[in-house]
Amino acid sequence: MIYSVVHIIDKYKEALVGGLLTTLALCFIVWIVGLLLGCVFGIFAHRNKEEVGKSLDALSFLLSSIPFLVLLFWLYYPLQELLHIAISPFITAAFALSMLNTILVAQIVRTALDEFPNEFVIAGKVCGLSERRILTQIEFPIILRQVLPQILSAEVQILQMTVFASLISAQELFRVAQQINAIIYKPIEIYTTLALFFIAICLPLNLLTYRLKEKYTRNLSET
Amino acid sequence: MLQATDLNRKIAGKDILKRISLSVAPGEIACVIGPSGAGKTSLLRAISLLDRPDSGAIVIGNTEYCFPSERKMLTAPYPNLTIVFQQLFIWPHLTIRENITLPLKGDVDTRHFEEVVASFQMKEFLDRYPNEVSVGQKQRAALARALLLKPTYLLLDEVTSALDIEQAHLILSHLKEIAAKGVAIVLATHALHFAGKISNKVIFLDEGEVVESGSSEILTKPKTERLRKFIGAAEQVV
Repeated sequence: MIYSVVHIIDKYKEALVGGLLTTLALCFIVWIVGLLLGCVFGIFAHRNKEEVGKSLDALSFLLSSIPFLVLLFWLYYPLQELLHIAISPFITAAFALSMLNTILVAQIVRTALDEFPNEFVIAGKVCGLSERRILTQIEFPIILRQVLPQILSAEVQILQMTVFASLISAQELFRVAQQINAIIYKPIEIYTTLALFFIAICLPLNLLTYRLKEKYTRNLSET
Repeated sequence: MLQATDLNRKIAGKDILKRISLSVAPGEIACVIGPSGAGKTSLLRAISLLDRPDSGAIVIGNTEYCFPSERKMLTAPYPNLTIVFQQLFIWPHLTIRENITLPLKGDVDTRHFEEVVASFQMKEFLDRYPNEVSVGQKQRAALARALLLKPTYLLLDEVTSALDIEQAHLILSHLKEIAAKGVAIVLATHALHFAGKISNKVIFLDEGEVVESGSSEILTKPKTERLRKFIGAAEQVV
């Protein structure tokens, strides 16, 4: 089987690399948009609990109640039909995943800010530290250490969810694997190859998440 | 001089502090004692200007703060006045060494640093993170962080509450030396035995007001029934 896997990778390397690049491009867009908008949205939700915070909760409840596949299909078929527009599968998938990622990141950031013990700031204040030093040397590093493993873990989940884009015909890795399988019908070898690709990307990220969690995450109530 | 006059503070309609006055001169130690919920922490937070009193006045050195005051305070008294909390709040992402030197802005007086580290027996755990040291070690670090700032006024809120008798003794025995260097100390404590030994003034608080105050003699010869009962109860526990 190892020979077959190597053979498939070698024979279809252009298609597989193309699919991989599409998956990575999709991920890159979704990660950047989700991280930027999620951080901004999370900070606003923390500062404005009544309006932005409640909107975030409402959106989270709504999105968690809809299976992602249904959301993706709804955005691709009925919505575009209703609006008489045609948006490519790649952009539709990028939009749907970015929306989900933004909400995920925003909730992580908002929770970390809400739960940050203000006494760390007061301890800095009574030690005579300026507001800028409290922000850069106390608040930001502590919050970053708390959220980083959770955000990395969320981003790995998002990466794995990109396979759903294949169902609206985006030419990402899973779709390419399906197309190769339709030609040569070797599902075991092909899906093993696909699994190896995902392991190669996700495993280091998961290990990094685990390492960061072990090293940096602290029980803030015990300090 | 650290002076508070007629401090009042209400939270949700309840009087937390009622007409409290006290003064502590440099070199003096004032112990604030009283049952849980008496207002000891509220008093320290008010004196340190972390919580604004509803009325009254606080003098810290040459600066007077009058309440009520709509104006945002322009001159924060920190770190000339500093406070160590019961919960300590040692920053978890920094080692103990970094925790105690961060407020010094790189301007570390090496001799003073060595002195403080030696007197609180901190050398062995200086480069550990807070989650790798005991509560007692964190307590010493919190106190060292405050002392390295060379404050003139030092407020301590139950800093020995989580310590065993030996560690509490180590910390409290240093307070006299610190006061002797001209620092005014206000200490909220449950440790009546130590309060009697080290304090120049004792203030007994109950339900937000000063029930009795005076020299440490009030702990052996209380004038009010309430303080007598409190001391009696404390002795039974010990």
